[in-house]
Parts: sequence; C-alpha cells; structure tokens
Amino acid sequence: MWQNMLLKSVEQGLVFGIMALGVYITLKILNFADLTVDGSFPLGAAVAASLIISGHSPFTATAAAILAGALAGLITGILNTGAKISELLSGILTMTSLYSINLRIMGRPNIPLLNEPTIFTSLQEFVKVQFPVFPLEYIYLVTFLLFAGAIELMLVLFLKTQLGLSLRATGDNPQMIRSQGVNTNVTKIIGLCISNALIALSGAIVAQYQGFADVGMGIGTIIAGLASVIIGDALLGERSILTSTLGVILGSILYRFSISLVLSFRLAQASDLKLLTAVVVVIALTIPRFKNFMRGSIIPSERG
Amino acid sequence: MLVLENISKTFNAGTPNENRVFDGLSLEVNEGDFITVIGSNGAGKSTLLNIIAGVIPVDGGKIYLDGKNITNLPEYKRAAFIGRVFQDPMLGTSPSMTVEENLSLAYSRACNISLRWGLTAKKRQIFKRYLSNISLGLEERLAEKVKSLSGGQRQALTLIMATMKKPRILLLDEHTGALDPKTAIIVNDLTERIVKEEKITTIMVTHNLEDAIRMGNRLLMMHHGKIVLDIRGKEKAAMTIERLLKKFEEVQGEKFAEDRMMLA
Ligand SMILES: Nc1ncnc2c1ncn2[C@@H]1O[C@H](COP(=O)(O)OP(=O)(O)O)[C@@H](O)[C@H]1O
Ligand SMILES: [Mg+2]
Repeated sequence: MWQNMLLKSVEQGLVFGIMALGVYITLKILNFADLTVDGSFPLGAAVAASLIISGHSPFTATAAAILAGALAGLITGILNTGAKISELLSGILTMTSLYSINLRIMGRPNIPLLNEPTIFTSLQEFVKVQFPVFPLEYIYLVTFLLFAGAIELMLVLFLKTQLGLSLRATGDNPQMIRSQGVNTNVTKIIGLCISNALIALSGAIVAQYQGFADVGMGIGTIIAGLASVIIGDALLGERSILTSTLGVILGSILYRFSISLVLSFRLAQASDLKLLTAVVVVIALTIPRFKNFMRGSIIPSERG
Repeated sequence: MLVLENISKTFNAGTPNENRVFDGLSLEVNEGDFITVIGSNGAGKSTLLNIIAGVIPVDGGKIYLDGKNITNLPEYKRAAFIGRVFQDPMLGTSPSMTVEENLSLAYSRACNISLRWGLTAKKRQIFKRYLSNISLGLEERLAEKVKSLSGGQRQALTLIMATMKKPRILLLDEHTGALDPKTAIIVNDLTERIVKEEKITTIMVTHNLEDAIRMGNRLLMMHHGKIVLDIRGKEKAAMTIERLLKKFEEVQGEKFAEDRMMLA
C-alpha cells in the first residue's frame, strides 16, 4: 500500500508539476500574480476531452489544449497591458469567463474518458508491442518523468535565450529592460502565454490520466501550484534556473505526497483538501520569514 | 542632432497638485556635445532627461533626433539610440541576474526578442574585455548575480551597458550621486574615458559644481524649468565656481541657494 501511495504521489507530482512550472513562470520569472490558472487548467482538460470524444486523436487533442491555454494567457495579458486592468483582476476576469467557456466546450459538466483512446492507451499499445518486458504499472511514472523532464529542460533552455533573458529582466527590473529596448508588454504577454499553455497541457494530461474532465477540476489549482513553487524554493533555493525549476517539480511531488499522507491516516477527508493546501501554503510562506527573523536577531543582517 | 522645441509639461494637471514644470523649453544639442547640467532641486533636470528618453510624454512641443520627429516614439523604441544611467544603482541592472546576463541584454539592445542564445563563448570573451578595461575586477565575476556587487560596481556596469552598443545620445542623471567620493571619482573617470573614446554625445546631470565645470564642453544651469545659463567653449573652459555663481545672480537677480549642491 505504501509503495502504491508513493508511486501515485510521484506520478501526480510530476504531471501537476508541469502546471507548477507554469505558475513558476508567472510568479517567479515575470513577478506577475496570475490567477488565470484556475481556468486554464480545466480549459486544457475540457478541450482535450471534448476533442477525444468527438473522435480526434488524443495527441491532436492535447496539442489543441496547449494552444487554448496560450490563448487564455494572451487574453489575460491583453487585459493587463492593453486595457490596463490590474494583474489580479485580469487573471480573475479570464478565469471567471473560462468557467462558462469550459462548460460550452464540454457541453456538460463532466466528460468521462474511461473507454476512450488517450495518449496513455496509445503508449501502452506501443510499449506492449515494442518492449514486451516493460512492467506496465510503471508506464505512467516513466511517461510523466520523461514528459516533465523534457518540459523542464526546454524551459531552462528557453530562459537562456535572448528572449528568455528579457522575460527574466521584465520580472526583475522592468525599467531597466525597457531602457534596453524591450517592450515589456510583449514579454509579459509571451510569458503569460507560455505559462498558461503549460498549465492547460497539464490539465489535458490529468484528464486523460484520471479518466475524466470535470468543469470544477480547476478550483484551487493556483494554490497547489503556489505550494509547489514555495516548497521547491525552500528545498533548493534560487541558485540557478535549473535548480529552481527542479525544485518546483520536487515541490509538486512532495506536496502530493503530503496530501496523500494526510488522507491515508484519515486525518482529513478529501473535501478538506483545499483548506489543507491553503494551510500548507501559509506555513511554507511563513517558515522562511520566521527563519530569517531568527537569523536576523542572532547574526546582524548584511546591510547593517 | 537632438532638438527640443517649445516643450511644455505639467504634472497632475487639473488637480490641486498641478505642477507646471516646463512651459516652452527649447534646447539644441550638437553632435559630439558633452553637456553637464546643474540646477536647484526640482528644477526639472530629471524630467528633461525622462522626456528625451520617452519615459514621460510631453504635453506640447516637439523632439527631433537627427531630423526625425521622435515626440511620440515609445520609450522602448527610443532605447535603440539612447543610453541611460540613473542615480540609483538599483535601477540600471537586473539584480537577480548575473553580470554576464545583464551585459548580454545590453549587447543585443533593441533586438532582445530573439531565440538565439543569450550567452556564447564569443560574447563572454567580449564582455571580459570590456570589464577588464575598467579595472574593478568585474571580469572575474561574470557569473555572479549583480545584487552581490557594490553600488559603484553596479554603476560602472550600468555605464558599460548603456554604451556597449554605441548610443546616439547618452543620458546620465546624477549617476555618481549615490556613491562615496572615492567611487564617484572612479565612475566619473570611466564616464569621461568612454565618452571621449567612443565620441558619444552626452547629457550629464550632476549635483557637483566642480564636476560640471571640469567635465564636458558645455554647461547648462536650470532653474524653475528654464535653462538660465548655457555656457560653452572658451567661456566654459575659463569657468570657476565663483564666476558661475556670480553669473547666476546676474541672470536671475537672486542668490543661488542650494544646500544639496556641492560647491567643492
Ligand atoms: N513622475 C512625476 N509625477 C509628478 N511630478 C513629478 C514627476 N517627476 C517629477 N515631478 C515633479 O517635477 C518637478 C521637477 O522634478 P525633477 O525633474 O525630478 O527635478 P530635478 O531632477 O531637477 O531635481 C518636481 O517638482 C517634481 O516633484
Ligand atoms: Mg533629479
């Protein structure tokens, strides 16, 4: 049972880790508090599930989910940079509209995918034929590991390009990067698109992994993403982009693990999860400050 | 090469805090000018630079650069030909990025939206050369985050970033104002060297009268949003602090009172 729980947590941590990487881009790189997340995650699930049940290939469906997510990010970006609506409100507006849009896309609140082809059924068949010795119970783990790893690597490489550097500078010192000739509205929008594309991708994979898309599955996604980013930060710090993105995925795994731990000990029931997550985030947010406070009172601060 | 024509600017127009900073300010900057600007607090020196850089839009008047009307060009587009260093060492660099990453942004100024690598061996070589030129030991710290540098090192870095890709015009706003006197001298020397070597047209706001007289070929004194003195050539070369203050009194009919201004 323990082994199974561990396996499930790692699987979930990896696939939700892709979403957390999306949150990392806006929160840490762009310094933009984007609440689109709770809408773009189920958007990815809705687009993928609807296309799959209407007979499209699960790969096409997943690709479409990525595009839909990018579009959601674009809307938030335009609301913020074009219509000059605050970051928080822009995200909330998109997120709220997406609730209606997701219902429209799905046509009903829930789409089961149990007997539908998904990227996993295709993969399972492929593996059965090509690598008959491969233990199928690990197929999710291996797929997610490759997936999350590839996405993390691509993100790290992207952030080392000229555009990636500009994105980082946009979050760090927008005045400076404008004086180097970068339109920060454009970099913000690009970051929001990439972030929400990843979040929607995560939603699309989760829907196919759990076997359904539900219009309510996005609630609290931002908090889970936030928790992962914060735990990652506490684990590995901000030495480099590579370590901090790795930290985000580790944070996501640890987060899922602690949740299943709490549930397995019957310390709480599934409906308490959102509350628990919020508590985890509050604790994670206050621990570093508490540590700093302690350190500051023992060793004089650097500035002094 | 740079012409400001009849610029007017009022902050918070139509509110009780209305503040008319410029009302018909004109200025012509010639190719190769190194202009130092002094003036009392609130005279509008920073606003002047912000207007040239496009950070603050004007209410009226026109700005021409090389004959082209740039009055409505947004800041990030003007950045292609304007280099800037601010008073606050925090403003000119990205603190949580490394020295070489910051330099890379300046190296490809105005073409930073590409998917080419930000850092290559060749670029690092170039950055090293630039940094060893200023002998602050920064060439050994390429991979360190900028937030670990001192204020003077950051200003020197910002100055390099502002001039690495030769700008048509360099705007310096009291860029040594937050530094200790020793570091200020280093950064000032570096400024003179770069401006001379690269022949960059420069406007430098300073609170140090001596620097303003010693450096550059032309000196502007601003007062209440007007350019009250414009001293050039031989007259500038023969200028002393006493003569400058006397001249101010002649023009303005009042004493030059400024506690922030350093007389020596
Ligand atoms: N962004 C702004 N918004 C409102 N008022 C401003 C702004 N920038 C400058 N001012 C006002 O314009 C006047 C000139 O300021 P400034 O150009 O900074 O003076 P200086 O640099 O010569 O000391 C001051 O009264 C200042 O309060
Ligand atoms: Mg000023």
